[in-house]
Order: sequence, then structure tokens, then C-alpha cells
Amino acid sequence: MSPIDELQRINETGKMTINGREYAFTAMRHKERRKVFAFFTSIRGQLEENSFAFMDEPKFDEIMGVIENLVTFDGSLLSRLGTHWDLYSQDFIEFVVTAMGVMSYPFLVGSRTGSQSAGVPREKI
Amino acid sequence: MSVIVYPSGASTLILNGFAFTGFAEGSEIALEPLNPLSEASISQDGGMSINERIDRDVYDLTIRLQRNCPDDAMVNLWRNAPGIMVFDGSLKCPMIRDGKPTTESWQFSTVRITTQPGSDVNNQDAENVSEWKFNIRVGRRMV
Repeated sequence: MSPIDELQRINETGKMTINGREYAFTAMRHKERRKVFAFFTSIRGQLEENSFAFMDEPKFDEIMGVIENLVTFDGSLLSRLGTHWDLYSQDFIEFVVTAMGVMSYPFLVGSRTGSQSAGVPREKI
Repeated sequence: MSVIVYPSGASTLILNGFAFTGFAEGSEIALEPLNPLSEASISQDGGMSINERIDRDVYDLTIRLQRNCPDDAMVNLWRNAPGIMVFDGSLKCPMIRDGKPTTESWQFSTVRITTQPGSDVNNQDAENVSEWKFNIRVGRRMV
């Protein structure tokens, strides 16, 4: 399965498994996807060189705050599980890279095919 | 005797697939059972008939959100959607029981909005809270 197919699968099922632990994506708003996508594109060059220096940047903490408010582990948002990454550090790198890819997936596909990402209903507030 | 510690702001509420984070200060999530679990009638000679109520799993869920935050706007979208939106949800409350992490879990099915927030423009004691109330057809608690 190619990386983009894997992102599509996770995007459709809302679930990814890392080292036997299941992480579930909650529904996302466009602004949240956009924020993560913008950061993802800015660090893609580093990822291709297997550099994770971006994890030491303040912007990364902000993006992780967004991601951890959208992904659950065992039903709890990661942002509510203060010690999760201390307990499961081995999941972290794969989680970060995959989560950013999954959240950016509709934009990545859209840029290739011209299709639009699924979003929330657009009724007026 | 157990010692149970509840971390502040540690609960995860998911409704209609969306995780809520924009709670106002104070009581943020309240679950109230609407009906007794069972009813009993007592006969003159001391006998008792006990009936299980079919509506025993019905709850009201009240959440208090920061007014006009993204979560408040999202629920308002659901309120403005054509027809009545019905969805599922869950609530997870982590705690430390005798030094070990554990959780109280709730599963909700057939949830609908019943009460929407009003408006109070106040130039002195503004609260800026949106209180939404949901009715839950079936709420189940697991500890």
C-alpha cells in the first residue's frame, strides 16, 4: 500500500494503529486542517531528509495542541492525557508524521485531482 | 477505602464525531437521569410489584461553552440544520484511583438538542457562556 493510499484508508476509517495502540481521529473543521497542512508543507523538506529539528520549534507545540485536541486514545483526547507520550514515546514520531498527513490528506488529494475535501455543513451560523 | 483524584479539565466529550474543548469555567458537563430505574407498587397485604422502566436510560446532558467559540458555533450549525439532527456521542473522564489511572466512560445514542442558549448583553456582569442542553435516549455508564 502506497503512503497516499494509507493516508486515504486512515482518513476514511478515522483510525490508525501504532505499535498495537489505536488512535482515533475525531471530526475536523476546515480551519484545523488548514493550520496543520500549512505547517506540514513547511517541514516536508525536513521530513524527506529524516530531520525532526522542527519538533523543537514553538510552532510545533502549537500544531501538536491542535492535533492532540482532535485525536483520541482509548476514548480520551490526547490533550487530556498528560503522560501519554511519556508512557508511549515509541509511538510519537510515527504518530506526528502520520497525523499531519491524515489531516492534510484532503488538500493533498485536492491538489492532485482538483476534488474538494469533505467539510462540515455550510449553513449560516 | 479508595483515594480517587480527578484531574481538572481532563474529560473528553465527543458529540456527532466532534471533540469539545471550548468549555466555560466551572460546571462544564452535567448529566442528569430523567427517570427512575424502576417503579414499585405495594399491595394492601404487603406484596410488592416492581417494574423496570423502559425510559430508565434517558438523560439530559448540559454543557456550558464559551460563547461564540468554535464549539459553540458548531453546535449552532447543528441547531440551524434543516430538520432535527440526531447523533451519538461519548464522555470519558480519567481519574487516578489508588495510584492507578482508570476512566469512567459514558456512551450516548440518539442524542438531540433540546434547549438552546439565549442572549444576555450585559455591560457589567457579562458571563459570555452558551448553555446547550441535549436529550439522550440511551446513556450507559461504565467504570
